[in-house]
Amino acid sequence: MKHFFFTILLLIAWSSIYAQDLQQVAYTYKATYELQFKIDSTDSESIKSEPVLLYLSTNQSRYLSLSQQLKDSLFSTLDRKNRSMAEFSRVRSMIPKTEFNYVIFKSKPENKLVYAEKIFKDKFKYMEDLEMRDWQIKAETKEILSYTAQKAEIEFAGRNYTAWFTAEIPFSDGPYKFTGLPGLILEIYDDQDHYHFTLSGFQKFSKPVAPFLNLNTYKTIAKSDLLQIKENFDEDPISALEAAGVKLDFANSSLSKTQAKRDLSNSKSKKNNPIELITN
Amino acid sequence: MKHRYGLIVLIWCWVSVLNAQVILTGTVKEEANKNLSGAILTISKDSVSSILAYAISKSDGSFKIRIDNAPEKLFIKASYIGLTTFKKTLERKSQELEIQLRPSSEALKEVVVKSEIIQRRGDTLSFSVEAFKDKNDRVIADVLRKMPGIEIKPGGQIHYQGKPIQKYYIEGLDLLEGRYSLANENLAADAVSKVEILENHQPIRVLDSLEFSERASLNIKLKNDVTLSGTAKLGLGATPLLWEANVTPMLFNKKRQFIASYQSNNTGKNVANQVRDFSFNPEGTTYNIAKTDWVSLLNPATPPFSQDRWLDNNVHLASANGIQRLKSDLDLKVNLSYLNDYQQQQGSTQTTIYTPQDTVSIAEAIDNRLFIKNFQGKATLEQNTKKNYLKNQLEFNTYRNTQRGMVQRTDAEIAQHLSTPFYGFKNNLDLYKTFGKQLVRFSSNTGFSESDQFLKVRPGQFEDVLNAGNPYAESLQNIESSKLYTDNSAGMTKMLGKFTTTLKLGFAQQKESLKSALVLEESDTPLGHAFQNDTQFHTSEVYLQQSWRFKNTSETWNIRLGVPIAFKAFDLEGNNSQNLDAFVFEPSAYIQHKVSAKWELSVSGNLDYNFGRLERLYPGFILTNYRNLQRYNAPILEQMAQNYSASLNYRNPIKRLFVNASYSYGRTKSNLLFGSQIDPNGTSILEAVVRDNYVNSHRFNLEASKYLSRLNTSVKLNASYNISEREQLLNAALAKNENTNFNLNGSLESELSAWLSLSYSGSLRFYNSKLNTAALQQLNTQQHNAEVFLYPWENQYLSLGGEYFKNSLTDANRNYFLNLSYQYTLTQKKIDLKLVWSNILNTKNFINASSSEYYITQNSYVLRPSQVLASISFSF
Repeated sequence: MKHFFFTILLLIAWSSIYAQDLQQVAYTYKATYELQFKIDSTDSESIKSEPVLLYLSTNQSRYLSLSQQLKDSLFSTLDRKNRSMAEFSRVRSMIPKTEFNYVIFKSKPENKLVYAEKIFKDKFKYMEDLEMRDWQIKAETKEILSYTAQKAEIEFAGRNYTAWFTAEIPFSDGPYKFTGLPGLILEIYDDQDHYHFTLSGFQKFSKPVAPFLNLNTYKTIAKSDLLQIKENFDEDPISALEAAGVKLDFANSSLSKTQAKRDLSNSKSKKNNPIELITN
Repeated sequence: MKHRYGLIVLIWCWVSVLNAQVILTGTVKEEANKNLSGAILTISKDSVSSILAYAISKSDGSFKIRIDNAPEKLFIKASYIGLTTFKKTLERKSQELEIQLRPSSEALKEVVVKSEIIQRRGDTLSFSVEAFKDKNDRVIADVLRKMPGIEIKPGGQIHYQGKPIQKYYIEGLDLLEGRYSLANENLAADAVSKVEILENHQPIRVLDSLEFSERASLNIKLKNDVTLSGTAKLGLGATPLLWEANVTPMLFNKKRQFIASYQSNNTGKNVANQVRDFSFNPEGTTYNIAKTDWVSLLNPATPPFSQDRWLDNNVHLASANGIQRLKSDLDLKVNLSYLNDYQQQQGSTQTTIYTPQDTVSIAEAIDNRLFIKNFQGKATLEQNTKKNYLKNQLEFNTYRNTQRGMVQRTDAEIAQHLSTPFYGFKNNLDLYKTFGKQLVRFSSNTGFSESDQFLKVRPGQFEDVLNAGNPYAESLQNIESSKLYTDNSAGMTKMLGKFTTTLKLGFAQQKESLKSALVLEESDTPLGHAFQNDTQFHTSEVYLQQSWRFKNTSETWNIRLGVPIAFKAFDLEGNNSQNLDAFVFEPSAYIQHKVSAKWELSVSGNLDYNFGRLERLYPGFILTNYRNLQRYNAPILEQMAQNYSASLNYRNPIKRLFVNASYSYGRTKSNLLFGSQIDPNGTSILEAVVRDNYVNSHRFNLEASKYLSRLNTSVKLNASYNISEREQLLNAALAKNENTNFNLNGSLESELSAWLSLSYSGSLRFYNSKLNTAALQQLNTQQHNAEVFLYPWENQYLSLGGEYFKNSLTDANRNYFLNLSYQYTLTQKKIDLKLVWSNILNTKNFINASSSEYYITQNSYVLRPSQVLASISFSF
């Protein structure tokens, strides 16, 4: 009996070693942006801000919020090297909360972008074409963090954006899904200023950095499905959790479930201003 | 219109082509003539002016740039990361270019940001209370309940992502340990700035790098360094005169915290929940000072719904808790609580007992009064550093419970009086120390308890057995019992990659003693040996426990294995002297596998041994309640249980569908069979007989839930089916007993609009019992609840609920309930006014039927009458 269990254990340990299949791309540069956004379009006071990162290599890039990056890297170091839990919990508790839990990979050779997000327990991704052809280049220039930036305009997902890019950094890339200019986008904002990205730093890695995320564990679904799942979860997390098999028991508590749901949906209804107003 | 624009565009294009359209084409190559994709080509007037047009080279290295209104000279630039930039000035004409880029070591200009953003944003993996707090929220529990992932169970236990939390800290101090409901339900939400969730939190710092914790802890961050907070509530109602009071002040600072509470009511609210302990003890509790009641009154079965509807109480609870940080990492805390409750129970039972020869029916009307006095406390010294962990906890628990009961039967009226005082002390010491990469732990748990109980029954029962068939006035059952135990162990924990292994060696000793005598009033001298006990029971145990845990990186496999071995020796002294030595091996395995994003499978199996406890080892009869005489004149019980289970989960978040199916099988082998001798007057005598016997049970369970987005409605269904077979000894005859149980539950929740929501839940239950081949009565029950919530205005809400219960044995019309509640909030002053009218129809009794293997009981329980309670509450 004992031998039998050991054999099983060994087999499992073996298969898990071979199951690790990470995308082997190394990023050489990192652009850091400060993203200012308005979470409730009807409330001018609802402005929040958080840093977002763009990792760049010659033919791939990866965009995500700093908090998300910290979470990913923490989990990957924990799993791989069994670092001290004390350190882990300490750092973990310092990671700020983010409104953006997704990662966007842009692959130039494939001309595709992958949007990956973990919603509650489930990991999902969808793919889109990378193309962004309708940029209108303007003659106007200005200086951003000592780089000379030139103006360009585009309409994207229901918003009109103004971008400032620099040819001094020859990455045809930018934050979020923005791409396709002859140089890195240093600043981009929509005409209502609901989403405003500004470069705060640009660094070269002394050693190329590998991505932490294993995209294979994310299930490919249609973009509309992903948006639907996200909306379901945001609108009514209690039902979504229950649909996921989590048992919630409100019996006997001073607050009924319907009240809890109502209160939650009130607080969530203030999140009414997604970056993509129109999705195709 | 369209045409006109088209025309303009056409003309404009034609003009520009005529004027100055230049098309540049070509390829970009790397050194070894390799085509280069992704190179950026830009055109400007000169090297300093802005870009006019651009292109990015395709995968074959080709590019095409169209320049409208091209100037005289064209400055072309081709660049790529890590390669030198190509620059050239061209004439204004369409042409084809071949561009080659050479490697370059030149790095791009950097702008360095300091990564202090993390520190700056610091301690904020936390829920901001402001973001979740609503106008109606008073105490922190109201806010916690709404945070995603957090749920509060009916008893007050907090769960995070489906698992109970480990610790409830206030500013990092663990004042209340498992009794955190007291703070959670009384600390004003306004005093709290943040709720921090420490996921995978290991509260013992020594274990940090060794033992991965799956549980989360919670830390309450307060707004001010010194906080004085609390809640107060006062309610009055009728009928009879009802009151409800709660004053809970608390004081917090970084080094000292204090919470006191006084609560009282006679409205049926169980305040004991607030001092209930939710401490998590992973080591298990084989040895403890749990209270054992040897004698009891006959209780009517309590209704299966909220206590508020039927508990007839008069309770006072006082609690005081303090913690003081003596020096860094060394805390001393003291927790004390006193509960005084007077409860009344009224009801009647109609019991039908089926025996192979006969059917016996007993009708009883019950009127019980319970007086509960409980005083408990503990003092804890805890040191928690990276190298050492020390925790010593001294605990005491005392009860002075007395009960009086009156049972009315068709032929007699029987008074009962019992007293079950209890004293218990225990000390728990845990010491952990690291040696390099290993952790060594030592723990010692010692306790003592004593309980001298009596039961008086008037007039005396069991005349045939006890008094040669002559009636007598009173019987008195006296019991003296005590327990002393010590359990000590030393262990080691090591982490090897993805495996964690734990080894523990320990020994335990327990000495229990039981003295009992049954006395009839007339004689004053105890009855013979058959009705006396003077028994000592010693348990000694040496154990070696080894366990492994494995989890792979992607968490698709999770495996736990345990191979504990133990040597146990039991020694019983008294009329029934005997020894038993046993060597036990109790392996257990649990395997969980995530097959895909939607499917998850888990399998488990284990083997367990159980041995008789003193509660089932006394050779002399004890009158445990007025109609039950019990003894176990038999060897020590030995049981071997095998359990296997498998479960399959399906989860589709897109369709919002969840299904779980599980099956479990258990087979238990025992060396003893317990048999009842039932008299026509309903009294029974329980005895044990040596005979190997088996109990087999199967359980099937299916659960599904679906959310219908269009209707804003969630639907849940649950079906379960159980079969168990066992051998039963009834009036000295062996009977084969088979029970089947089928349950069907469904619920529906719907938010019809912003001001109206509905909920419904219902259950159907079918119980079937067979003795040998004769089918006993089948029992069906059903239960339905429905509630409507109305939110006519922001600060008001109204709810109306109805309940219906029915079983196949009774006439259904009386089991209806209706409740109404209305709340008005004075938003500005943070005061809630609440009016609750419960049991509007004034349903007097709850009638319920329950059944076990060989009897069916029909219970009637007197409920709280229709009552109205108005209350005012505020927090400060």
